[in-house]
Amino acid sequence: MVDIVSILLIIAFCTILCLVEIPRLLRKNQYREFGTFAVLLGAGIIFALMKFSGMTVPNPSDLILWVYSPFKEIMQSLLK
Amino acid sequence: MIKTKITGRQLFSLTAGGSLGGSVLIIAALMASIAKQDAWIGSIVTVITGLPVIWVYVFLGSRFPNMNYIEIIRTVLGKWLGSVVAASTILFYIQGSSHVPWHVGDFITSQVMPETPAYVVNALFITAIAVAALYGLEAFARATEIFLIISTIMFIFAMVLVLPNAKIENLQPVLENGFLPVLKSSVFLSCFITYPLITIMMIYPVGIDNLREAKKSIFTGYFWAGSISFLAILMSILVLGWPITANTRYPAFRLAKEIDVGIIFSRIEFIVFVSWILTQFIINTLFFYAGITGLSQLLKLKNHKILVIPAAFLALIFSGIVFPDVIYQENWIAFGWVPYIITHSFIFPVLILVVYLVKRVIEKHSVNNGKKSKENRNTDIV
Repeated sequence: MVDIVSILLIIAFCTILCLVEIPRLLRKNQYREFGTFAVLLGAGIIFALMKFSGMTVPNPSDLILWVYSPFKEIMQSLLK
Repeated sequence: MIKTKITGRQLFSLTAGGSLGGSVLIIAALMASIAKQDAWIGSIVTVITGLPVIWVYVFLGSRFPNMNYIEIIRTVLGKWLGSVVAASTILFYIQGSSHVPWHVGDFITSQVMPETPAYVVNALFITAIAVAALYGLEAFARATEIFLIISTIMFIFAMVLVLPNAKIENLQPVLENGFLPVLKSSVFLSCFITYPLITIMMIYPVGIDNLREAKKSIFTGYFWAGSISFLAILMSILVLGWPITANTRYPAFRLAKEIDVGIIFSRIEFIVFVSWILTQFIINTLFFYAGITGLSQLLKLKNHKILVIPAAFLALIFSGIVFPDVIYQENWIAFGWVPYIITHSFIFPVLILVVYLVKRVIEKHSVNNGKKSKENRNTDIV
């Protein structure tokens, strides 16, 4: 299910944020800050577009569950 | 990097609020399902077994008074291992900050406004957190002083009003199944009231002037939170009995629905909700603040405030992704969150402490060995 309203809201929000923040960062020559900002916001936009256009987004909780799956039996015994 | 300083009293309310965090409303169900009517003993055991963990945090902080946790990790564990552990800790902080809004959204959409999308509620909550992070630590710490007072008064008020419904028979028989279930349940409770205090490590040594006072306020804050969550669990079991407590999603909220004093005081369960959402706000801002200051520390950025809005946006998007449904979340608490937080808040600090003590012993030994000491010490530090 594609959620047009949310996608438009997100694009509008991110455009305004970039227009406000990026010139200020570049004026101060803060390239490290600019890189981190771009990566974080880019990841946010990609995941948001995936989420609202109905695709399955990789879930970080699944990763953690997979990492700790060897301890599953210990946790199971604690729950009883 | 952080030049703002907070007082001991503010640290006390940060610790107490952060420690109460998610626990007040939800944890009694899990506790009661494991320890049955003895869950209240479990909460006392948790507070006592948590003391050494808090001591580890306080001790590490007092050894490195001008560093935050990420710097401590990298100083003690060295550049490579230190960076890996630090990155993992930051991921943990950021991930934690997208879990709390899920709880808020889930509560609102399941109990209050069923037709509102959870993202709307989450967006409001995360906006408040982003504003708090933009205003900075000092303003946020001052706000928590007020929040903790409101939260405590509301909660005690609700517990006093519900007292007439308490039945002492619900606690009997005490320790029917022995002490083992109590210990097991305390493992889960400590993941909600003891271990989240690792976020305080990003504030405690570096943002504090008076370290002696700070130690005291961390411990008193911890006891404060411990006694309130003890009260929550005890009253849930006294009033509802353990089977209902174990099968309710929000036991403390269900408990406050029982309030019925005359016809004047009834349907005022939302005072518990107020108390809960204020502490949720505190713990979520702590996680979020720790995440972005840690990230800017690791990447050597000059200004962490630039990361606030993109990180809040990311946390908002993930607050709707991390848990697809309630069943998944309950499963994840047991099999994901508990080992995850134990790794980051217990194993890593203890590892750092051990490495630090071993390094110090080696250093002392080399000092005793004679004039070579200076060179050795220099290589040790490098």
